Amino acid sequence: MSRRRTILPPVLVCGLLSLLAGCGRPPERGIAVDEFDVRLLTDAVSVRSRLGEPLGGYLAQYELNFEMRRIFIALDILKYEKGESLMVKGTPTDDSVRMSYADQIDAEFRVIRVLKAEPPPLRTDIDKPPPVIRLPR
Amino acid sequence: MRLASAYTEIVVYGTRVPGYWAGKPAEGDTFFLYTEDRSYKKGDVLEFEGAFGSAPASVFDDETRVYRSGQITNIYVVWKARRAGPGAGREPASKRIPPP
Repeated sequence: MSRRRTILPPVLVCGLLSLLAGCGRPPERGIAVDEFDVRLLTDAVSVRSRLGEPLGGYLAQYELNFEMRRIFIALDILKYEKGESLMVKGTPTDDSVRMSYADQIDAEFRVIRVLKAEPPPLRTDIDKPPPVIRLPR
Repeated sequence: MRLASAYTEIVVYGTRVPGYWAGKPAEGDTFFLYTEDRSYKKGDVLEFEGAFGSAPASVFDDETRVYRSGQITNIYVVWKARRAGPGAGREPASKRIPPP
């Protein structure tokens, strides 16, 4: 069986884009957005969620009330690497993925759909000497 | 239009769209040029023909490593492109799709 590649005529692509722009809106409107400071525990993985949706993303860990929690963060573009720290804004979903990690065998992790992710800002004050305090004579 | 990125991709409604960022980011005037031609480099100046549309897309900035989803993005679907300015004349072996 041979695979054929279909190329949409440009005019169709343009029409589709215009239509999407008309119908589309940022998904965060009216939806609760949570913020997490996470560390990626895995490289990018492709999994199928409990509701059957194919997802790409990372297993990630964050701290809440001195307790480590793990979540699955879902992104469309997977360019981060295991071990990276990220500040993530995302919408919690009712969906979950089943994965094994360290002591958690075949565990369920809640899916967070990421709206924005970025590395934390670099600290620039680390190499500076401490401020000099002049005491009055 | 000057290319502001190397060959990259964005995702529009779950579909990968390859191409380049172009325009003047400092002025907030950025476009995504949708093309499968990988022969251009960041900084190349292009003259192109195409059609324009906009759509919410997932984008990743390779320099700042910031990911955004649902960002309304201006997209040019490139039908025909050629280099302009320095380096012009080096025509890439691009696949030309004739306009309808």
